Amino acid sequence: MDNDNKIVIEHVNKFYSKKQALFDINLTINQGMFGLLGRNGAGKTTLMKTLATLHCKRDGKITICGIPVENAKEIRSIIGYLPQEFSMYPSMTVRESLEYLGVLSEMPKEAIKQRTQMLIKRVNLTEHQDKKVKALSGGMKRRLGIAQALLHDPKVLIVDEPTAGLDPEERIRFRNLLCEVAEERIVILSTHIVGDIEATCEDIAIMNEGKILYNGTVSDLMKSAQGKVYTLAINKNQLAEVKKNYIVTGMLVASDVTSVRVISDKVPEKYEAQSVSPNVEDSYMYCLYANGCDVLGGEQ
Amino acid sequence: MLFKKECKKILFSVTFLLFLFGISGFFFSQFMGDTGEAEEAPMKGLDDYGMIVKEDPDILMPAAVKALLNNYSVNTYTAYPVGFYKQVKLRDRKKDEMTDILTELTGLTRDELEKYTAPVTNSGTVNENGEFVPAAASENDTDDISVSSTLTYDRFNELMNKADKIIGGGSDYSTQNLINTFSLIPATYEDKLAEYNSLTDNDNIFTSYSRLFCDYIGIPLSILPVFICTAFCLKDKKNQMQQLIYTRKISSSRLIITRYLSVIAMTLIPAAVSMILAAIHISDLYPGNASHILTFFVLPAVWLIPAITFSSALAMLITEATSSMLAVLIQGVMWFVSLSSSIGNLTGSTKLFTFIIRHNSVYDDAAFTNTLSTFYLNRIIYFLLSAALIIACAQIYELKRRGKFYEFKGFAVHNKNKSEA
Repeated sequence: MDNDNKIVIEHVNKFYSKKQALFDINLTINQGMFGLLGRNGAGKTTLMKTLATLHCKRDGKITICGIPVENAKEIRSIIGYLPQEFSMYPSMTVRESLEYLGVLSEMPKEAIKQRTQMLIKRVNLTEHQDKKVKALSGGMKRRLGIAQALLHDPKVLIVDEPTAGLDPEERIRFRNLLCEVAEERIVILSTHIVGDIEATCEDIAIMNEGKILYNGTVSDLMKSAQGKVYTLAINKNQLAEVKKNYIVTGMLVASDVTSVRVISDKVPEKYEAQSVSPNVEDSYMYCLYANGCDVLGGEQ
Repeated sequence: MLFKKECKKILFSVTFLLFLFGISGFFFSQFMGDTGEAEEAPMKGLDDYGMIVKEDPDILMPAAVKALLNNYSVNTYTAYPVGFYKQVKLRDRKKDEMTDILTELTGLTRDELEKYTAPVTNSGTVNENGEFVPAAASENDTDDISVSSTLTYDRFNELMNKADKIIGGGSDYSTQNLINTFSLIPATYEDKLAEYNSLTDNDNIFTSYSRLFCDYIGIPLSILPVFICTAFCLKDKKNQMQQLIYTRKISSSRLIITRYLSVIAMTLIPAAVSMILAAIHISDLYPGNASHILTFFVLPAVWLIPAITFSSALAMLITEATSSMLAVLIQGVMWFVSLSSSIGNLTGSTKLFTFIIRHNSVYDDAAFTNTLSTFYLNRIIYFLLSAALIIACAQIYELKRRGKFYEFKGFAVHNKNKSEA
């Protein structure tokens, strides 16, 4: 009964042919927002797809609200999935698209009508409900995406990189929407954008190369980076050297002095350094660094 | 509800529009074009009334033996093993067996028969009709060949049956084809009148014309549904809908079967409309027979539905398995081969696996009824195959939904989304 409102992932491995994509993943995800953070190629989408029954794991155990993931039909009835890249039949209207997917969810006719109208309103598409999908903007399509994922009132919502390509206003609106729906269900948000996690999640996991590097709360993550973040006041000539020796997480270039935000285990004595409180981005970078990931120079 | 929505998707697709053009084009240009006027009773006193099939051993035996000897002389035979065209060249042992058969059929010795065997050469002459005559055949004309005087009709049939088996089955020498191919005699006025009367006999008009209708409309219906199915199945991929659909509760078998039935329904509707138009047209051509109009609709149901179900099921299976337009290529070739193999024998040539059945005449009742059991069996086979193919398609679809299919095919990495992980 304990597992009825949580996702439990135990020792999960996943291979693409001979290449291992997930390594011994262990996670417990409770009701509310859960953020899965990692670089592109970290294994987030593979894990999301495995939870959404789109991929099969090699071994290990996954139960979603007490149901083993192998029971695909049951799992499909309790999850809503918004893939990273998706669209809908361009010639269908917003309402028709939702109704079609409602039929595929085997919802009763009346429920389809009610939920469609309710969700169209909730995602602010009422004025556009008779517009064809091809006429929607990127933000509207994303909102339609979240509506389709919520159509059958799933217990679990899996959202993969939902804010990619959205303008700042749309991104904020979308994040708020996710937080609202997370009040009554498990929402897993996979992203490589730290700001999305910072604004919405308390529980997170950080993935890299198919492995979980961190699993816990955002505040604990930030605590782990306490005393490791400094701002350096340097001149422009020193910038290349700083970038070579430290993980630079921010930079403010002024006319004569450049203020650089860096991560370091020790106080950078060579420069005029001041210890500062880490933000989530610093903590994420520190987590990668502390786990031996090559983050110097910033780009891999 | 899903069925209705899938039908609507097809209805508003470009491929369905093309399908409508194709079917109506074929219907109006071929069937309506060929049946513009009612058949007329033959006129007396004509020089030529054509040929008719009549089982006459005196005509059948020499004609068949001569044809077999001609094949033997160039060692090239045409067979239809399991209904598909195949050109056959016999090797030593089988050629030897064929020689034995021909010695018994003709009464000639093996040495005498050898004269008719063409050397391996491409040389020859072109006759006055512009036809190529191989050198060996021109030197050893088979026209002077006669049937052995001691050969009985029963033994002739046995030997021809044996020859057909050596060739590979389904040849002109098979029991089924022997009479239709070789027992042709010049028709008389009386024959033609009897043929005409049998056509205009009460309910036979509609049956005969429905056969012609099926012959014409069966050609586009054997290929055009492939385009609808392929476009229909690729629509999810093209519009990045796959993952949204894969994660829905609906079972793969329910989804695939519903989609399949919607394709069948949407392709049947134009076929049914053209069938009704055809029946009305025939009723107008032969006034006074309208009470038998319902007989027009019996044969198309048996003839055309398996053509649609099979072409659609195969197209769906190939498209789901390959996520490509390969079905158009494969089934285009199948369609072309099946159509080509019937050229030259457009009536009564139904074999067990003939895909596109032909009977391009309102006459030749006998040729069709002689192969009726094969016709029914053929249609049942294609109908059952359709069911098997669509079940396989649903299985493949479920494997795709679970991400297992590409792993099974061994190219998981290639199909992995670039931005994935």
